[in-house]
Amino acid sequence: MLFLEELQWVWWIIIFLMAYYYYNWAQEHLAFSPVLTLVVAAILIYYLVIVYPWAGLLGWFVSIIMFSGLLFMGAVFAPFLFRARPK
Amino acid sequence: MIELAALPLLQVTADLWFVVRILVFSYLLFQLYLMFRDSQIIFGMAVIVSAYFIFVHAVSVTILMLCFFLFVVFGNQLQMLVMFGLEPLLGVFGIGSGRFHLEQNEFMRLEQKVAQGETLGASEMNFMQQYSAKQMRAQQMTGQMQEQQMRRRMG
Repeated sequence: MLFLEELQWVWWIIIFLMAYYYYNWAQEHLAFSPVLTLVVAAILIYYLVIVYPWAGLLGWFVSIIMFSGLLFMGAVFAPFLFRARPK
Repeated sequence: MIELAALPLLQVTADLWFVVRILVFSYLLFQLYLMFRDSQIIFGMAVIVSAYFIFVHAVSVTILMLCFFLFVVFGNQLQMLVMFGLEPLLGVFGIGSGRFHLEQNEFMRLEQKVAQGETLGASEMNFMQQYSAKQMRAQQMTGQMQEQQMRRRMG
C-alpha cells in the first residue's frame, strides 16, 4: 500500500522545487530589472505552481528535456541501439 | 448546459495562454535589453511595441512567424519537395513538367529495345512515331524562332 503521508511530503517538496525553478528562470531572464523579476516570478508561480501545478510540473519536465542537452545523448547512443544488421 | 460544462476548460486554456505570452515576452525583453541597453529611450519604445504585438496580436504574429519560417527559412526545402516529390507524381497523371519525363523514359526504353534487336508491337511503334514527330516539330519550331531572332538582330 502507498504511504499517503510520505507522498504528501514528496508532493510539497516537488511544489517547492517547482516554485524555486520558476523564480530562478525569471531571475536568469530578467536579471536587469529586480521588479520585473518579482512580477514575472509571481505570475509564473501563481499560475504554474498554485493554480495549475500539473501544468507547471509538465512544463518543468519538458523544459528539462528540451534545454538540458539530454536529447544530444540520443544521438550518442542511437548507433548502438539501431544498428544495421548484417545479412 | 453544454456551455457551462466547457467553461472551466476554456478558463484553463486562457490562463495558460496568458502564461505562455508572459514567457515569450520575457525572452523578447532579454533580447531587447541586450540590443538596446545603451539607449534607454529606444529600449522603452521597443518594449512598448513588442508588448503591444505580443499581448494584442499574438495569434497574427505567430501565424506570420510560421509563414516566415515555412517560406523563407525552409523555402528551398519546400521547392525541392515540389520539384522532385510532387511534380514526378503529378507527371503520372499528365500534369506539370513531370509528364515529359515519363514520355522520354518510355522513348529511351523502346530505343534500347530496338538497339538490342527486339521487335516492337503496334502500339509501341505508334508511340515511337508520334514521339519522334513531336520532337521534330519542336526542333523545327526552335529553328524558326532562332532564325527570326537572328533576322531581328540583323535588321
